[in-house]
Amino acid sequence: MIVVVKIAWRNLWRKPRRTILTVVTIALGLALLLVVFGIGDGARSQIVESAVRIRSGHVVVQQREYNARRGIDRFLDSHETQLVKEWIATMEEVFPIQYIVSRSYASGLASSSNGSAGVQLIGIDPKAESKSLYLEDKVVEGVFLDSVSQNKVVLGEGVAQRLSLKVGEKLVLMAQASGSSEIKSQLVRIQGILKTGIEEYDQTLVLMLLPNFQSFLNLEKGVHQIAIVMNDATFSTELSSRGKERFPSIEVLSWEEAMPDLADLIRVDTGANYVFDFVLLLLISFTVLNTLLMSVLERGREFALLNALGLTPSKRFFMILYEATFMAMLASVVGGTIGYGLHQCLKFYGLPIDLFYSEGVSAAGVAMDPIIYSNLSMGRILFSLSLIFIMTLGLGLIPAWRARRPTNIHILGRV
Amino acid sequence: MIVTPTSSLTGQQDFSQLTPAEIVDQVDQMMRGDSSRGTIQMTVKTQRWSRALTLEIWSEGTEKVLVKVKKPKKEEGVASLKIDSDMWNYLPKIDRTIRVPTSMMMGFWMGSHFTNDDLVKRSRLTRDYDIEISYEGAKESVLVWEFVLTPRPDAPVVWGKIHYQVRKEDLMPTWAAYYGEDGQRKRTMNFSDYQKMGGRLVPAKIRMAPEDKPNEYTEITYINLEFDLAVDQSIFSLASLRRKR
Amino acid sequence: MIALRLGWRNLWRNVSRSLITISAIACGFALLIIIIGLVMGIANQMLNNGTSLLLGDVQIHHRNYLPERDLYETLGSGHADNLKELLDKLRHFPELPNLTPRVHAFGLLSSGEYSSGAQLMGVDAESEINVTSFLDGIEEGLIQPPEAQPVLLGDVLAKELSVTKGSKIAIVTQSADGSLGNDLFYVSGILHTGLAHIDRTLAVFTLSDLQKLLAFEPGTIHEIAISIQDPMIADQVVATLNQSALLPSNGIAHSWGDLAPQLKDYIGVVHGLYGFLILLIALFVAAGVLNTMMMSVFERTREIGLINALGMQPRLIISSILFESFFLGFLGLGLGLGLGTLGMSHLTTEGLNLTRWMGEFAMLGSRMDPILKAVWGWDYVVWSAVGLLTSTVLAALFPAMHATRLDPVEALAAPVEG
Repeated sequence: MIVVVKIAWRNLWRKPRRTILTVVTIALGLALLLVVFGIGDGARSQIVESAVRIRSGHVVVQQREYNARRGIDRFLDSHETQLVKEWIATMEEVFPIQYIVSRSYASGLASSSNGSAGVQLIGIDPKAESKSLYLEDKVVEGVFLDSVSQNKVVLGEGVAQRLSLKVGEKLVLMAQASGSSEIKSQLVRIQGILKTGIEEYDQTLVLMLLPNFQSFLNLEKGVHQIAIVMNDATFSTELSSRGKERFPSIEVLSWEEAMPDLADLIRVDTGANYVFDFVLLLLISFTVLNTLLMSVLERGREFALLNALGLTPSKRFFMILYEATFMAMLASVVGGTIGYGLHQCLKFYGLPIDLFYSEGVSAAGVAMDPIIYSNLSMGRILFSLSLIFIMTLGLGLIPAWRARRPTNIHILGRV
Repeated sequence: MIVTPTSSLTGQQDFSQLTPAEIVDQVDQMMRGDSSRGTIQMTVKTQRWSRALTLEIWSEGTEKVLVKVKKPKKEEGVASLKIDSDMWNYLPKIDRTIRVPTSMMMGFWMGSHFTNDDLVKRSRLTRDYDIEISYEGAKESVLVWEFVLTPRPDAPVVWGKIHYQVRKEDLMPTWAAYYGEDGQRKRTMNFSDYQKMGGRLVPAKIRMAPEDKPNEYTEITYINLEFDLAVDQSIFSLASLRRKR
Repeated sequence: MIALRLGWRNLWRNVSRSLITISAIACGFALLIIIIGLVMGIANQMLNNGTSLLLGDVQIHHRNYLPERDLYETLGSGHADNLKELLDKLRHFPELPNLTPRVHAFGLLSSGEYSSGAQLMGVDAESEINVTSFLDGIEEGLIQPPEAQPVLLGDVLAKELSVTKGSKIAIVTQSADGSLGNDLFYVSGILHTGLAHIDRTLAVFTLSDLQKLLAFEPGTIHEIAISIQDPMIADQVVATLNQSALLPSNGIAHSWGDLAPQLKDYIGVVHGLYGFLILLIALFVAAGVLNTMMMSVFERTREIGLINALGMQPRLIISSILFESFFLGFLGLGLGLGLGTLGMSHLTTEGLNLTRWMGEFAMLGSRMDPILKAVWGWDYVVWSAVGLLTSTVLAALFPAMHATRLDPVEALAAPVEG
């Protein structure tokens, strides 16, 4: 058998050009698969990441049914907050937790001397948010909140426009306070105006410091949401199910549970990507099959010779399969290198899809980044490699079967 | 409380001893009293339509107000009740009481140029503003004070400042102009037709005009007005809101 | 001419080799057509999701209605027949069979215990369902309500108001005559789009009920929403409409791209991203064709050397090979187009059922069709055909030139094929 392997290897280099062309075809196919996976996964994980940062976290802790009815009274009190934070601290040893953010929400009314607008008021901790939201980069006028921004707000561009306000000017916030039906008013000044590119937020968002928010609406030390952001979204479900066991009376949600609309979007896009990959693979295999068939066709004389020299049909069969294996190996190295190299380029420089549009883009309430960075997991690489191997060997079966056939000895006499 | 406005009618008290804040406070008190009941005619004129309503109003301090529509017939019985910062509307056609949510508080009340908030808050001028005299003397041969009201640093008011003119002789307000922080005038309230009602001199006509819509205004005319009655507390209740009367 | 004939003959001297090359080109092209079709299908579906949910492809308003959405900037007036006449006039456009009138307002909804502000929208359900999909499955609630004055509420809004199907709610709004429009409505259905800002704020009425509440005449509306066959030509349709005398004199038409610039950008991204992938794949197919061609010509080094030695002009040899490869490419593309069309005819009508992979799902808010229907992307197809044909011919050039330059002896020494 070793001999057959050797013959197969030598066969490859008797016709280096043909071998190289075939290997290059397979390699390009592999590289293409890797790039498609990289860009697809990259775009999806970017959408999930920005959603996780702006809308919730990889894991969200809140009162039961808070998503359904966002009442001001459905907050986690200081005791619950404390317990949750302690639990998160213990989980930090097991999960790659990056940071946590606490937020409080209220819907209310912002008025200026020019009019009024219904707004979504959010109490935040700017230090934690700066790691999470990157909202500082989205400030188009003024500056973002800092830890001393007492009675200062940062608001969405649309809110500022509706109230005809500029940085430094004042507005009055009105909202229902917790624990009573009392409506409280508070004078605040604009420290910054931001544009997230997400219509919903730009039209309604008013951000203020969490302690400021808490004293304004009588929350004491309570918060509405504690969001956990991790380095790796894949741990979301596991961490949330641990949280569910630990805190049965409150709600611990994974990002898929917290944002079902986005989870659907990702699911659809992944599905579409698989369809795409499938057709792509079909395309690659046709091309490879053609190359292989072509080479077998040209080798009728050679097979006849080998037959005459006593190489049994099964040995000829395996010989071709070994050739295919070698080619697949070579193609894996070459294609893997090209594909991984391209992925590294696209990971570093990114694919600037903003060439195709003017303004910010959002889907399912999430802004899409103007540049898509490739994201390729080891799993995807191994998956693509094995696909290419299986495909090449599978396709190799066809010419291999053909090589088994006893050939007309007279072919040897042909010129 | 009862003494102050009544004595003002005599026109003999020397108001110049008072601080600006005290003067404005007195004007405020006079217009409201501890409690009041009155019938007003409200005319709203907008670019698209104009209409007239006859309303009956009960008030107690700044905290409680009840308003009922008497005319036109179609809207008879529509009522608003405000207690502290809460507000409800009653709609007889569908027999429902609706609590006005916070986000609708700045909506314009009954289609007028007064916001729900104007009705809810009423005047808290001395609490929210620093008051200074900007002019003292004769204007159009009437002796007046003109005040500049500047919001206190944390006062939850939207205005940048308010200019307010009051007649020296009888503490009657003549006009108030509301400015934004940018210094632009946003709306003007004019008082006229000073009459004695319920034992007090009051401006029977108040006209509110927004600056950005030059052809629009809301005018309130008092038909009758009583002050400091022993108002039955039960009138400021949801049950009374629904009562037809 | 000789070269052309030689090329054609060469094609059939080694039938199996030519067939393999042709099939390589054909399969590559056919799959490329299908990939383009699927990609355009996805982009199309996203666009449809964006426009056909609620927006429509084109909308007509009073020219001052947007962006303030002033209650008084209306189209039409008077009797309901006037409205019908207005709509019928617009239907004269062959592109506009599906249009529907709407009225918009803002109001306060109250269930007694809870109240909430909401977008009030009055629709003619029977024509609305031909234009948009947000009423799908619940349109009966407006067409044949079990009680008078029906209203459909967004599910989040319904939850906030603590009402369910069958509840009564009060609606209060500022009417056009300045009075306080108010009435009781019967919740005849709950709608779910998955789009938070719609589910949280939308209340849908019958056109006449909302007109009555707003003290509008039956012929008065704010908006005509239109769906057209191909949303991509919405801008052209709008341009024609705006110049047409059939449009009400105070009206103006806007395309979905003007109304929702974000959606336009999103579609731009999808096209850009997939355009990039199509480019990569086309390059790959071209490389595959190039490989096959090069291989097929290189294998013939000996043969070419022989003809060369026999004294045929190198130029003639090269051009005959180029013609041969052109025929190969041409036949391949033709066959590929045939195969691709075959595949597409299935994919454009039956579609690709993704339910098995993804189950039921909602996307960008709508109950998305789990059947992905392909759409012909002709410009992409034509460009890739040109690209493939070029690479086929170019692929033959190098080995042909190589073979003619060889010393005949050397070329003849090349291994015997076949």
